[in-house]
Amino acid sequence: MRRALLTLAASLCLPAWALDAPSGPVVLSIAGTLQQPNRDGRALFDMAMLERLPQHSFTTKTPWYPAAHKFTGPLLRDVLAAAGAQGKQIEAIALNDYRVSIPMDDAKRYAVIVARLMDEQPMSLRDKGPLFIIYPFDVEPVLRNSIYYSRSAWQLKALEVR
Amino acid sequence: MKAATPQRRRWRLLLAAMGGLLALAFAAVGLLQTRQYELLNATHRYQDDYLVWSLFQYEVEFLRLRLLLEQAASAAPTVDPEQVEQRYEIFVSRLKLIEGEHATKVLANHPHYRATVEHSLQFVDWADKLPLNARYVREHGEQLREVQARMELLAAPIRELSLTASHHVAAQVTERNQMVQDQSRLSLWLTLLQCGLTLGFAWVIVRQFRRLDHYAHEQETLAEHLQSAQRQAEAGSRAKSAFLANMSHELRTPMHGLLGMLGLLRDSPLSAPQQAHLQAAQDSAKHLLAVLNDILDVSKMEAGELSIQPEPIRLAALLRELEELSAPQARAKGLELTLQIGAELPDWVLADPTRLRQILLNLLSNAIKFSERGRVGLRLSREVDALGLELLRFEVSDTGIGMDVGTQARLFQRFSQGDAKRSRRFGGAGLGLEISRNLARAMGGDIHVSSSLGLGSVFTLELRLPACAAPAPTSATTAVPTQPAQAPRPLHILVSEDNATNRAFLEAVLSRLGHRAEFCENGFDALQQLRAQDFDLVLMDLHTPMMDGFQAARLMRGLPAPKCNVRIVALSADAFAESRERAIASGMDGFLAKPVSMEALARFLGDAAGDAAADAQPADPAGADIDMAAIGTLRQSLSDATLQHLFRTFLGSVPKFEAALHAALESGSAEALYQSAHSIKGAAANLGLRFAAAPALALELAAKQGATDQAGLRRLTEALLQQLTASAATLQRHQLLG
Repeated sequence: MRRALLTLAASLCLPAWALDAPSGPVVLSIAGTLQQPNRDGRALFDMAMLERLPQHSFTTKTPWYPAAHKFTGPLLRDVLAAAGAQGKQIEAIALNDYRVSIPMDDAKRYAVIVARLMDEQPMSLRDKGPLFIIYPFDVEPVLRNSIYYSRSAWQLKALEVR
Repeated sequence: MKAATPQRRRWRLLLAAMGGLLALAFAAVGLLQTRQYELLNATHRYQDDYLVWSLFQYEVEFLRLRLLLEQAASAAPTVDPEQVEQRYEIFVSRLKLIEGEHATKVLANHPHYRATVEHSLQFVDWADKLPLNARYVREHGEQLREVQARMELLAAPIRELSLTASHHVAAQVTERNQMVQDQSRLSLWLTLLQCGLTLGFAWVIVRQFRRLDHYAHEQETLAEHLQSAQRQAEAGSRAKSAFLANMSHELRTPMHGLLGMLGLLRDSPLSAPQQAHLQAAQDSAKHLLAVLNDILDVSKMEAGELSIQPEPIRLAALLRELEELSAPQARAKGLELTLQIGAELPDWVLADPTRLRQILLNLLSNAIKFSERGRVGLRLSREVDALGLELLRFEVSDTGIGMDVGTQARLFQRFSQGDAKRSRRFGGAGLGLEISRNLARAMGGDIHVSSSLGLGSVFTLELRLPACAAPAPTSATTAVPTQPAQAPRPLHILVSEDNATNRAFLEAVLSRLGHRAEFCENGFDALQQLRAQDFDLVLMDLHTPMMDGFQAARLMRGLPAPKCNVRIVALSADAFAESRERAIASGMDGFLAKPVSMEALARFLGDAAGDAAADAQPADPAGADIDMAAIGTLRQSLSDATLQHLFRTFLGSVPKFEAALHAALESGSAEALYQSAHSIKGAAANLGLRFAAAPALALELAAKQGATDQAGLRRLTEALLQQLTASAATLQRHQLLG
């Protein structure tokens, strides 16, 4: 019942009033000003929680692969909404300690996704997985430059909202 | 202009070359910009930059993994086996980035690249087989030394590759700078070329404008020359017109005397040979007068003074008149003359009778002139033209000598006759057909000819003459000369005339007509005479020495009454409308063109006397029924048949007169009575029918004076009606109907 309500709330893009605690291994941790933290002031997500958010797919060319690939995952803004995150800047942190700053506007303006599937397959760590921030490069030509390529962090592990 | 042609071709060539070059320059600029755009294409550049970054990152991840393994091998408790696995996976993911398609392409020439990548892959293959994960680290910690040793072998090549990357970056930056520099230089040259070409075009345009300016100036000069030439030509034309006017005056004045004297001579007792000589002299004089009239017509046409004045004419009467005028000529040459009038033709049409008669007489006399035997015909028919409009066609055909095509083409040109031979044989000034065609065109029609040599010719006059109702009987007789009603009252006439012959002629004519004339030689004398005596009429030659007729007339009008009211009539050989207008403007009452025939003068003086009589004696009682003297004058110029036709026309109009009088009487309108009586008086008086003219005049005067005496008007009207009712019987009694 509670899960059904959460799905309904998420599907209506309304901020959920509470976030489940992760049951599997944590793949993404969100820190900062949060309204729905679920552990120690942070919002932690396992893969199943991300899978339950509304999923988006698009196919795009990227500088990292010779051919275009289909990416699937929740919208970045839905993930942030699920955590009740508020701020102007998002600091994306990768497993290899790569850090990049993403303006909150990007998440609002573009259909930026937190990809968890490439060509319907989960991404392994050595394939830049398990999470990969992807901009819709093929739909928006303005995104095809170094700034947005550098914001597309792979092996994503954490977001810090400021 | 011919010399300019090759020069112009060179110009075109130059312009084409410049245009071509400019197009090439623009194309080059376009190409350059496309290349620059491609150079800046973000994805490619990012891939290049990213490759360099990846190579550094690969080394970094290699070093981090090596460090972590070292710590794990020394069994440091701080090392988490999971962390080792994660580091290894990240290292593998970095390897994938530098062994991709793009990297292979860019670094293909680098000697260490392939070996390094291959060694790295071999290591990963080996490590995956262990497999190098958290569990392996926990369970086989001692074997991590071997992993370390294998990694040690990779350290140097990976370091080498990293350095290569930095060199690659430097080379790439240099190359890109070089390219940008090259392109900038190229684009600078292209800009210079464009500047040069644009300046070239500007120069061409300025040159063209200068040339246009030059041409405009030339055109202006040319236009000025043409205008002055035109002014000269117009001045010449005016001089010619003035010359023609003078000549006409000079020629017509002696003609006046000549014709007059010949006319007087005819009445004197002459022997038969003398009469023949006189006839020949008179024929020559008439011919000369005809030529003179032709010249006058032409000069009037050139001065644009020819005017067409349509009025109702009766076609049958016109044809009858033409027959009477042409029959003697035709008879003299033994030609048959036939005049046919087609069916369904209107009785009356609107046309200028003088001009129409002139055209047809010209065509008929030509036909007779050029035919030796056979017949000459005039056929009048009604046709419909191509536009469906009705027109009248007058066809004058002959069986004469005919014309070839060349002659027909020249026929309507001035001074052209059939040919030089004919000209000598047949005489004539060659103006007749030109005048006829101009007249026909002025009347909205045209003349055409069809002819074949030796078989005769057909001249076709086509005119659009609208049908009209028969006019009131007063003007019904426009086709024939009008005649005075009463016997002329002797007039006291003053004649100003500088030509002695003309003075003699006028003296003879006026005394024969029963008038008393006094003569002087110029306008000044005339003025003095008028001051000294009373005259009924002044006949004033316009062009006299000392003082001309115009000034004399003006001064006469300035005399104290009643002398200023004397009737002044201009007498001049100068037949131009301008002179006529000037005469009227100077205060003259009328205009008689010289030469004046005795008949015309008699007619005119009859009118003048009639008017004088009407002023003097308002109620002239009717003497006899018929004015035989007036009818006698009519007989002099009209055939019996024509005269009888005129009387019948009058009889035909009587019912209309009666109806008009009855209507006027019933309405009680004095004005209507006056109008009816005036019109009856005019018609009757013209024909010398005093029995109707006298009561009509009495009624007219009574009505005009606005007599309120209705009974008196009624009595006068009834008297007139009585006379009209009896008019048929009266005419019969005097055997006027034949």
